[in-house]
Amino acid sequence: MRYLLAVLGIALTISGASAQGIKQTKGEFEDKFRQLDEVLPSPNVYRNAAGEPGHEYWQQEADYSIKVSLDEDARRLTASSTITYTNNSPDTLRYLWLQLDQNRFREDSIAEMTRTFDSKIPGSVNLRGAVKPQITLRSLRRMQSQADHDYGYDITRVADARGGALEHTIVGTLMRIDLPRPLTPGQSTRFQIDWAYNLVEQKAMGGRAGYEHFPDDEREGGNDIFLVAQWFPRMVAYSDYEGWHNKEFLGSGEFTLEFGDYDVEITVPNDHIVSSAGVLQNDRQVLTSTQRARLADARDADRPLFVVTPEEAEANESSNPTGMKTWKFRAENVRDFAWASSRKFAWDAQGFKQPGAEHETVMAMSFYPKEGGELWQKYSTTAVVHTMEVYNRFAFDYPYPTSQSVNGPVGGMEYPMITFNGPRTTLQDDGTRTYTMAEKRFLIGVVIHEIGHIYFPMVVNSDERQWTWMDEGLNSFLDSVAGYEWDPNIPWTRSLPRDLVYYMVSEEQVPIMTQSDSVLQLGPNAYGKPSAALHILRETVLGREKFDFAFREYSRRWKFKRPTPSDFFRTMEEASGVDLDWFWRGWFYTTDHVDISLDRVFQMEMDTENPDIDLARAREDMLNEPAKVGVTANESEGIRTWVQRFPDIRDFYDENDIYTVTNKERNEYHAYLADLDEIERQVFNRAVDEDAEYYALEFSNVGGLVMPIILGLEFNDGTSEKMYIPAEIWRKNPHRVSKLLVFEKGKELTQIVVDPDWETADADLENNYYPRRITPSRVEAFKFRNPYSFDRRDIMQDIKTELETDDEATEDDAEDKSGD
Amino acid sequence: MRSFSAMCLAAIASGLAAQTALAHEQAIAFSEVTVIQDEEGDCANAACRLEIAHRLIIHDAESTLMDVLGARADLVGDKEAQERFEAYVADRFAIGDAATDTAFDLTLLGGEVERGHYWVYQEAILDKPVEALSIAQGVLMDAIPAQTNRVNVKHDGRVQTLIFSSSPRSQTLSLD
Repeated sequence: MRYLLAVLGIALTISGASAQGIKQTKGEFEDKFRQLDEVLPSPNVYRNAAGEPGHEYWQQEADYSIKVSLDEDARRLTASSTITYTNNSPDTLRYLWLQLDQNRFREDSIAEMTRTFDSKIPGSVNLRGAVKPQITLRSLRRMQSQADHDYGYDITRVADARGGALEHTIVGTLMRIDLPRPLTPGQSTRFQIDWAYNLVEQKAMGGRAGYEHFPDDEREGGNDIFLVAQWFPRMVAYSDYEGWHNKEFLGSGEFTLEFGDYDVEITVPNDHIVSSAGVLQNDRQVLTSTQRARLADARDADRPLFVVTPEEAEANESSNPTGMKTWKFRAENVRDFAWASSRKFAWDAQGFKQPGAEHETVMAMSFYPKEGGELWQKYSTTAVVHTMEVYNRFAFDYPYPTSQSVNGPVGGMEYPMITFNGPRTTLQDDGTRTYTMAEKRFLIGVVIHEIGHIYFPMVVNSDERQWTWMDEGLNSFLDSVAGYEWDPNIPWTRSLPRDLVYYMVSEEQVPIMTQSDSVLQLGPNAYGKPSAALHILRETVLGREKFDFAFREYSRRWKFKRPTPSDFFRTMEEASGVDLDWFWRGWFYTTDHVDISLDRVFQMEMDTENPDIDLARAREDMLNEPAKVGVTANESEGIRTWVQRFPDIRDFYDENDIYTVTNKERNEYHAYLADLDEIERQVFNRAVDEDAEYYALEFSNVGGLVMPIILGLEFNDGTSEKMYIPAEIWRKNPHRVSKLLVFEKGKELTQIVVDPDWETADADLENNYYPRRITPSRVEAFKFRNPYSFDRRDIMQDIKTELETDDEATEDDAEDKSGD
Repeated sequence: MRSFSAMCLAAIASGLAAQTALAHEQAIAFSEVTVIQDEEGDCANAACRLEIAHRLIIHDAESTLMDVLGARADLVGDKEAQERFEAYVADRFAIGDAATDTAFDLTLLGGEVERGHYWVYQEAILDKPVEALSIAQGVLMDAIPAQTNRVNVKHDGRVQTLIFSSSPRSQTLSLD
């Protein structure tokens, strides 16, 4: 037997792999705990095996000095920049790549040429597909906008520091500059670019920035809000793991960039208010003394104060500029730079205090038009402050001097120190502005989410085009933590394990570890599922103490640096001290879902080996069996048995049943006891004395994802307890396992529930119960709760009902009340 | 080009309201179709039926109400808005026997709020078992760009998935 086991063991070890060329080729065993080292990139001097930046970690630096001017009527930006690029890599660079994201909107871009037809069927759908697909108005508007405007960059000059022209080649959304002399390790180079481009109308063209027109404003010609991002040629990241990140911008996968310092001079009509990354350098030139005084007061306020009031902003809507004004901003150690400008902006601010941090006071600020209304006044800046409070605990102190939320056409987008957020109020016929519960949840949720992005990926600089989940997943996890800490009664969705069940059981999916342009549904894949996984890791697998330490360590290690998935996986393991390869493998590298079924439960009793006890118990068990149906029927029919009719036939065995104990068994029992060595005897005697309740539980893994088994146990004495069985129980057999539970004498189980608190995204609740509980489907449950809502309505009668006017309804109410 | 202008004309009818949609929709709807039928083909004694549960994000749904239906958009508190939305969802979904391409008559049971989701329920009683389903799911596609609808069909302990992305054109699925 030992020999056979040893052979089996070898067979499992050799064949129990599935990934990366090592394949299980016989049997159904699958090693769900196989270590990830063959999947992860090899550690090296730049990023080590512990998940930390290696001892020779490097990253490039790109510093920008930019002057930009906004032509409001033409909606066109004209700008020039001087870029200082420092090569900290060990490589010699002969050319540099820059991102020209605005070229994505050119008609000949890959993004535009590969746009799929967004058809619509107005009205009912049918199965025959006979209705011709139609072009949506949205598509038409987009085509017209593109036909009427030249979108994309006009690069008018590329020159070295002395003004000499530099060779450059534009490749879609990228531009290569050929250096006259190779840039060796440690060297810097400086060059200049002049450009201009037409801002896109965001509502027509989509995207993460652009202008929005308000034709109904009182001012002749209306007003615009300008959200300006991806607006300058930006250095493409050059990293140790990918070299140049020069992957065409298709519109889906976002960005990773180099850190650097920015000096930006923004020239806009002189009645505009500008919100921008960085710190305003010339407030005396651009703000009134009143505004400066209000801003100073806001620094120490504990609730937001207005710098520009809503009334002032609304009055400003009818203003006409008398010239231009230049706002000067400086931003240090940022990986991007965005800004916004409009005469419609109200502006509120509140200083957020973080004692001991590099920036002890952070100015939390919001900029919004009257359309934002009370929704923005109440929640925007406050949500900015709340976000920093929560994220500081999980990551690090907010590392910049300002933190802003700006309302405009973009639904939600993040940049260092500044975010664009879309939710607004609705203007009612009576002139009031209202918002729904969903809109409130969206504003608070989106502000938390976008401000959260300033930590991930604006500071922890992961590459969203490659691994969207690294910032969206981590950030969705933290934004839901912050959301529930704001108000758990707000109906947040999408980030908890229970929100993901429907997605995870479905067939057509891709693993989380998929390049973002190829992800089928970015929402559940890159936001929801990784967030659910991290909630499970924190609350269920590791516990808060270990998780929070490890997550904070990851954040600390990679603050202002460039992590990859392996750095996250390795750090979380190293810092928590828990092998999580099974977890990463299941949640991030497969499309398995969670469904653990409690198949059978056996109750068992300890044999004492004492024949006087065991045989008596056996007799009792036999007597407890139900009487045989035929025998009972015979008795009721009065049939007398032979032995009743002829008692003389009775013998020894009529007095002594098969459970009768003789001295033969007693002697064997004593011999058995005598044969036990001292340790065995102690174990045996103690087990007999305790006479505990034993239960064998059999589980199967229907969903495929190995997870801890969490049991809610209820006992006959009215008590209950929760038991946690680590996921490693599945390591030898990922399909079926059994577990023995032991309780003191008399403490019998009355109910067992797998995952009683819905913390693991278990997809099928029905197989979680012992005894089985029939769980009604959603539809059945709804019908049960709403028996009168459909087929019991007497529609033939109800349809005769006359419509009441408001007056009649009021009269009816009055009559009803008077009758009370 | 001629067919292009014909399509344009037809499209104009829906008005420009869609452009006012507030951004940041999640653009995802889930539907679960549960097929309950006797394997022996006996639908006389054991009811053969379909249960259908659509899960929509309330924010997306409210945007749609405003844009497509022009209705007051408070799905949490406004009963009339709920009923209009339920009727809209029912109108944008069809399921039938793939063998004949005939749609089943669906009973709209109603809907309810569950946290940030709005659920809409339908059911169909079948007079004979079905071997393959034809499904079209176009909900919210007329209001939200890049709306993607995921339909999970549960049958005999198994889940199969259809994804409707950009077009509600019907797709078929075998229950074997």
